[in-house]
Amino acid sequence: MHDTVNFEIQGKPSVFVATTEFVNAAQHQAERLGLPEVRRVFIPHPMQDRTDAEMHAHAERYIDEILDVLMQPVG
Amino acid sequence: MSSAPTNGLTDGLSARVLDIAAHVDVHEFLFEQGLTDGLPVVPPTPERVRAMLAAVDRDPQEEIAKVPPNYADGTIEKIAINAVMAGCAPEYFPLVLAAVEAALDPRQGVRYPFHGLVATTAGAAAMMVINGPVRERLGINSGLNALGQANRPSNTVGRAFRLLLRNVGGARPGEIEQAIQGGGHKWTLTYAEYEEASPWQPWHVEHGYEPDQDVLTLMPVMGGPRVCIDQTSRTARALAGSLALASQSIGDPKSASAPTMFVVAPEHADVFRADGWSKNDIRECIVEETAKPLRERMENDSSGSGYPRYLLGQPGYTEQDLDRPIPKFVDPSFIQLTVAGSHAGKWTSIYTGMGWGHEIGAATFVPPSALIQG
Repeated sequence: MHDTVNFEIQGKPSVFVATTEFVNAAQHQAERLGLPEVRRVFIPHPMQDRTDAEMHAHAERYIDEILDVLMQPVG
Repeated sequence: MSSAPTNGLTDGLSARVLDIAAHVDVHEFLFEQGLTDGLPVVPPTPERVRAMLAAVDRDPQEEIAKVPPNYADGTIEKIAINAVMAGCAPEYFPLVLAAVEAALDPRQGVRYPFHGLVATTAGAAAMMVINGPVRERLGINSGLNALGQANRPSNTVGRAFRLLLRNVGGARPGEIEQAIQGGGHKWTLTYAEYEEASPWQPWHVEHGYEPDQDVLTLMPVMGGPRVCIDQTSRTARALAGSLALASQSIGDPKSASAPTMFVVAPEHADVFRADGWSKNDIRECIVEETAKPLRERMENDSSGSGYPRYLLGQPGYTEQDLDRPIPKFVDPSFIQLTVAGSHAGKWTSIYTGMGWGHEIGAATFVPPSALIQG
């Protein structure tokens, strides 16, 4: 989240991607960093035991949403 | 709650003053504000904060750290407030400052994320090891129950550091702090090295300090103690073999360990002394004993941890590669040793470091440390 906010501060559009277990933590961190509406996409949990093939499938499934969110104004 | 007249007591201080009505229980109030860990705290009155600040010759408004995870301003005054709340006596304050400075030590051979202590699911604790004359001056426990409760400086210095991360850095469990399970060691895990019972140089001297310097060293600790009870080994070789066996599966059972602390009790230290074993002799033995062929580090039907099975046959994971030894400790420096405990018991407590050794990579681990200065 720090990285995402830092990119935004530099004027570079960015989007934060994490699993659904981190919805709450991401919101708290975004608020504390002063950008509560920072762009984000959550993908299903878990991720740590997925194979490379499953991760590639995840990426294929979410890339359009990630790009869509990235094209939206923050907030 | 409102701003209160302070009659000059807060001159030179910048923290907000809270006026708490007489009928309100101060501890309950601070708890409700989210400013405590649930245990009672000492209310940080201006008088107490001033007494804490008087223990060091520092400008209260000097900012010595950006405290994670929010990178808030860690001024001497803010740190003093949390030291008061944690129950520190003023003479402990230099240790609390040293802990913050150690967390920022730039000499790290591997990444030691101050941030990672609070923004990781690993639930890492900040193990603090104290060396030098300050141990005796402040009565910091290095002997019986050194790793346990009941020693005021050990308990309060570690707690002050954790309260600082919470109250200044914003690391509140359930919010930004996301430790999977956590552990009692997150409250405090602070001890002094029993230098007098050690067959080796004191830990701080090993890492470049002078014997008469007071030093606080910080180790990120994810788990432990994995207590290795070996009451019967009478040779250094046999005892080192037991330590290797005990550390074989710490952390992820089949993956390389992060820098790990072996706290050797005096009776185990005596066995190494009798055979003239150096720390490097022990490290060499443990590294060799814990290295296992890749085939034993692969995911299999009896344990799903390790290198995933789908890698088999790919470059680096062919049949010939499966006999390649894979270390548990990627560098001998990942095995750190200190001495603490009583003289009645042949065991060693192993504390797992934070992270995975194969991600950190082979590099010399330099434990983050700082001088303790008044």
